[in-house]
Amino acid sequence: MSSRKKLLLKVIILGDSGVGKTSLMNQFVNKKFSNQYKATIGADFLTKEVIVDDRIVTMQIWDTAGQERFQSLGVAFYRGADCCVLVFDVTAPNTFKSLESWRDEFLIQASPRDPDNFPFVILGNKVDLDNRAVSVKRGQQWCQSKNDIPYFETSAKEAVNVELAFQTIARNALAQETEAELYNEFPDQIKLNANDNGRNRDGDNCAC
Amino acid sequence: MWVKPQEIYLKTALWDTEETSLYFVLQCRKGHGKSKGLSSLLVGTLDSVRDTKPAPYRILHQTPNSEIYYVIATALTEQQIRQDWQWLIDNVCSTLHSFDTEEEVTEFVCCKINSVMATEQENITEDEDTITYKNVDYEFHQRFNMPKDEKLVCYYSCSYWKGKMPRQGWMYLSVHYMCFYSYIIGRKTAVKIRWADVTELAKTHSLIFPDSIKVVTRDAEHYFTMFLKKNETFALMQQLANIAMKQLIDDKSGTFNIDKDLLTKLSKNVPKKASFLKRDLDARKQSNLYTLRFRLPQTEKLDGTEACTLWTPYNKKHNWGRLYLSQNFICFDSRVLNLVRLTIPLRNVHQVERADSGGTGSSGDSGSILITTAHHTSFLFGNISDRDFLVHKISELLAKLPNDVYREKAIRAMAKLENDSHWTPQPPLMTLFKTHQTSPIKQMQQKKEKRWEDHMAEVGRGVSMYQTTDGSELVVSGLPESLRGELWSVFSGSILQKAQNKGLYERLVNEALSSKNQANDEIERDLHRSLPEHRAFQNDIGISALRRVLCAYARKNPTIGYCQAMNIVASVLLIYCPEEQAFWLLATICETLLPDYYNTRVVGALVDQGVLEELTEAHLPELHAKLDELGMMKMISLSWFLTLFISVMPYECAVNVMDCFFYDGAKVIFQVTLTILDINHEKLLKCTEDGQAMQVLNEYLEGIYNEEAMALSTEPRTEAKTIKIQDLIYRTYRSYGSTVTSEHIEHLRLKHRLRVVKQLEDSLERNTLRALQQDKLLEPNELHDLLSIIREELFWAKRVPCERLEAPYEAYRLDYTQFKSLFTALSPWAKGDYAEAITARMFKLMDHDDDGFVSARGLSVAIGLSTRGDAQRRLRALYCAHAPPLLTHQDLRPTHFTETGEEVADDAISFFDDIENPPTPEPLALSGLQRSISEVCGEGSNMDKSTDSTTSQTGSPWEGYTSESVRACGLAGLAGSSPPSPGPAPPPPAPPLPRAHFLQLLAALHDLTKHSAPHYEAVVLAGTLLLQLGELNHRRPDLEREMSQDSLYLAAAAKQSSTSTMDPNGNTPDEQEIRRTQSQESESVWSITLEQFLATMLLQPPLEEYFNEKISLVPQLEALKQRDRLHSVS
Repeated sequence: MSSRKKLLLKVIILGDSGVGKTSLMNQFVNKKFSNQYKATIGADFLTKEVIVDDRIVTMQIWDTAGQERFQSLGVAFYRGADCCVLVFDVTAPNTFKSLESWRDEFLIQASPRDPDNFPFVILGNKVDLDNRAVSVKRGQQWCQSKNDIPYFETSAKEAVNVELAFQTIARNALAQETEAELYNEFPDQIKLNANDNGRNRDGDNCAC
Repeated sequence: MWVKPQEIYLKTALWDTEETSLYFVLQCRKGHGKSKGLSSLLVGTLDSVRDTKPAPYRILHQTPNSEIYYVIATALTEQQIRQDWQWLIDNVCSTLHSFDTEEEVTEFVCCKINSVMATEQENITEDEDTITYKNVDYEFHQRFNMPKDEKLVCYYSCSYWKGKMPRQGWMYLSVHYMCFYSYIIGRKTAVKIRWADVTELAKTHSLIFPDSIKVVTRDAEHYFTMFLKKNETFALMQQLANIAMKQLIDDKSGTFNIDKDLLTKLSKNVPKKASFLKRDLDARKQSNLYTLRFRLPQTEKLDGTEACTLWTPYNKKHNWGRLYLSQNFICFDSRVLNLVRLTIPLRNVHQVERADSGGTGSSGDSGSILITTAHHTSFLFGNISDRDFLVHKISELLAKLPNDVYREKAIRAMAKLENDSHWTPQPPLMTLFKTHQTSPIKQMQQKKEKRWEDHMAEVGRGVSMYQTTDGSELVVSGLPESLRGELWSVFSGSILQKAQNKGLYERLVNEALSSKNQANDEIERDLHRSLPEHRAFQNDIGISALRRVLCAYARKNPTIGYCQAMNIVASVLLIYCPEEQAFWLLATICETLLPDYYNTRVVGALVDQGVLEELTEAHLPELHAKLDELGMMKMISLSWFLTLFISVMPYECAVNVMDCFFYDGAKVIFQVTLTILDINHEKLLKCTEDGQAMQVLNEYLEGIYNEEAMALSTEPRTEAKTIKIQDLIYRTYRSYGSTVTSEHIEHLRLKHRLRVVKQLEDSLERNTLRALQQDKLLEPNELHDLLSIIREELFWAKRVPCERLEAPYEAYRLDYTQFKSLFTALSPWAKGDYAEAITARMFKLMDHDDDGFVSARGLSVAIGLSTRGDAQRRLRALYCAHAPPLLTHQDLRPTHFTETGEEVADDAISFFDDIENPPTPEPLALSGLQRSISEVCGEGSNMDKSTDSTTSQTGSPWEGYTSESVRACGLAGLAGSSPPSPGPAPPPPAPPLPRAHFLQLLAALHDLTKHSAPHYEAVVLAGTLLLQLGELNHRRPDLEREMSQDSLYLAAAAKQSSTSTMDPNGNTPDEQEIRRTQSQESESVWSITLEQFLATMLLQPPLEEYFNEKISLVPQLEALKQRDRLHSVS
């Protein structure tokens, strides 16, 4: 596959309800913060073109519903993801504890080819608030224990680290995408694989 | 009329043949019908001379190579016999070709006719539960090994296709099962399928299985053919399967009750059928349709219906239709669709009178009644055939109405008492937070209001307004903002709920706000994320009202609690309705209009996604294929449905959709969705991936506009305008108004519910299995079997997997009885006399939160440890199960267990004493202890002493051990039980065992090993050593540290001496010594530590081997499976 082709990177944002997934996405894409978002139902997405290592890529960022009862419904969006962003709220320890299950659920449902090296990025959001309850160290430790996942402390409200985090997300997603290309050197094969994936996905859909 | 097949040898004498087929002959007796001639005359004479007049028409069965004929049907008229003939041709003939021999054909035909006859006779008898029914019921329970309380609903004659052969037999439909049984030519066929396992029910017609009902389960497909009443049978099957599904969704209806009320209510109208239950189900179905049609509370039960006319004053006409009567309502629906519909709550009825010749002179006068309501509105019904009965019935119902004047007073008084609450319900928020309106919009709204005022002047206002075609047209063009709240409540029927539940809202709010729970937390987080663009919700007044409504609803309906999207819907309701009315509208949406949408698994929304998919496939096949390819068919409209378009369309447009939704029901969202897809057809077909398609639809939806109302957001619109909302709705009604009906939707919902619930069940099971496998004790296939057995067990306990879980396996919760039955069947530890005690202790060990329930994981771990854990883990688990505080002194009292358990415990103790002191006539230790106990507490267990002393002493070695830490120790090594750290963490410390506890443990070990001499001896030896150790600890409580070293030494010594010093009774020379020391009373504490216990036990090679043995569970699991199932036995 030629690298001339315009690249589309699919990024999924997961995390408990109210950690700021929609705000982070909007801060990155539209460079603004609003406290007037409705709770996300089902899923939503925005796209943004970014330049990574001199290549123009389109990031397609999927924002999902966080409430537990919607968790199994989101799986349809997971397929074909190039990177998964897990968000927690540094003022709410429970949202940190959920990271593990979000990660597991994603790996099970998306079943990427190489689960151990699938790119995740962890964002500890709302660092602008005073009542912090999850320490930097705790966040970093967890990320290290999970095969050194990149960890960023962000504030969607004050645009802290958001740009940087999404740059990393884009780069890692691109690396994943490029690796995927290496696997499929012949165009024919791609087609076959795409079909196969489609069938698997259908099977996965049943899980919802 | 079918007759019992009877052999005859002569087929032609006295009979003319009218029709023949390969296996059947239709004959007419000479002298009847068309046949003329001498012989016929003669026969006619013969017949009249003889007393036995044979019926003049008959059908014979014959096979080509046989001389024998069977009479299978007779009839008095040609028409009747033709009917029977046709039935044979349609249903039986095609099947007969599949038999190999003619004997089989004959056998089959005779059997078929017999069963058909039985069914017909059934219909003739009018008794409630006829004798035949009782016999069948008995047979049903016998043949299928059904529990006594399983209720047979109905049974039908039919054929089951086993391979390529049809088997004639009976289909039995019961509350939880569908079964089939046949016994032909020595071959038995039995099928037993649980409704909860059915994934698909369909009427099919294929060459191989003509005109059949297909039943699909996870494992197999079954075909049934040749029903006498296929439609009735199918409808009943569908209903039963759905009841099973509903049970799986919602545990409120977990137990199935025969609703006696319903039964008596409908007895007048329902044709007599086999069983009570069938009738009950019919009644239930009718009542469901009735409440759905008139938007009545779901508890309403239809009493009867009557054809009549309704006089509509606004156009001065009598309209034919049907009057419906139930305990709280009189309703009317016109025969012409949507012409006029009326609901009169009986509580409003002031007077019912016979209205004779009112002077209008029209046909409506005969049999008229006039109903006057409290608001001095009159309704005139005419042409009632049985007027007196109806009037009588209505007055009866009126008399039965609860006299709620007093009740209301009481409630009001109570409310006053309680009313120290700090809130007052808010009026429609739109009246508090007015949005600025430009003058053209103001005029538009006023014009709308005027039209509605005029309309309501004609048809009345409130609950009992005539809902007419004119009204529908006004709704479609959008309601005026000021009337929205009122009309939504009337259309949806929520106004009735409110009226029936006075004071409830206030009570719920007070209760909900004072409690703390997960739902409230979730609600709190979303309050500012509901309708933030509206000023009302940028203010505490609106936020508080929203909090109250959502919390009160979570309180009212805990199976739903709070689901995101409800906040969005509720905030819109609050804009237009007074607070309490908004609450009842929300309740109506959640429970009636969008059933199961917001429950913990969003089942309803998933069901409707399936329904939408099927509708799309039917109406827009090309687009369906495309969306399916993009893999987005199932997710596309989740948020559209859950938020009634509020989150995807501009607010001022979505409310117009809501107008229609409340007026016409859930079908509207389907219709609108289809229209939107249709409009974007071309663009969607060009999309190459899901994101692109989403974008197309989002842009379209955001571009919808409404010129008749003010936009909520003040920001200039960025999206290009796409369509006027009114145009979209007109187009919707034009395209799909008549093709997508409520009945159709309901039907599809039934169908898809089976599939969705099954998928949810499967995924729950998969997740549970995945979680259980992490414990690495049992094999995956064993876990799979175990889980299906657990499900079966819970199924019979009529308990469904519960919601709100921390982990998937928490969904399956077993109480002690269920735990016991499975643990006893599967674990080698629950085989001996001590089974009950060990089971009870393992249950306690696994019951993490002491709530009397153990999860599926608890059971699998308990069984897994006892069969697969290494010796150390097994012994540790046993030890901890006997350690305080898990095992309390109450537990040590034999009375803790059941009748049998008591005996067991007593036995065990005396058993132990036997081992300890076989030759001694009077067990010194025991009597000594008993004496001391009776001194201390007067009565109670002989084992209390040591624990009493331990717990009463401060600074004792038992201080600081909680049930939790002991459990953690006992179960150390399981997935997730220790904090995630590299390498296996050492188990937390366990408390030492007091003597009484240790004796129990030792007794249990004796019991486990008693069938194998070497193991048993090893236990005796180790036990003796440990008792000695305990004594040592006892004497030198201050030297505990050293003693654990001692223990190793002692154990080693024992190992050496094990062969030489033991006598055949298992006594060691030290026994005397032990007994002596035991009888001495001492202030210090007798104890054994876990380390001592493990070291001593594991130093006995037979024991190490015994507790390391891996035991397969496969045979036991198979046996358990056989116990419950006989899926397809032949």
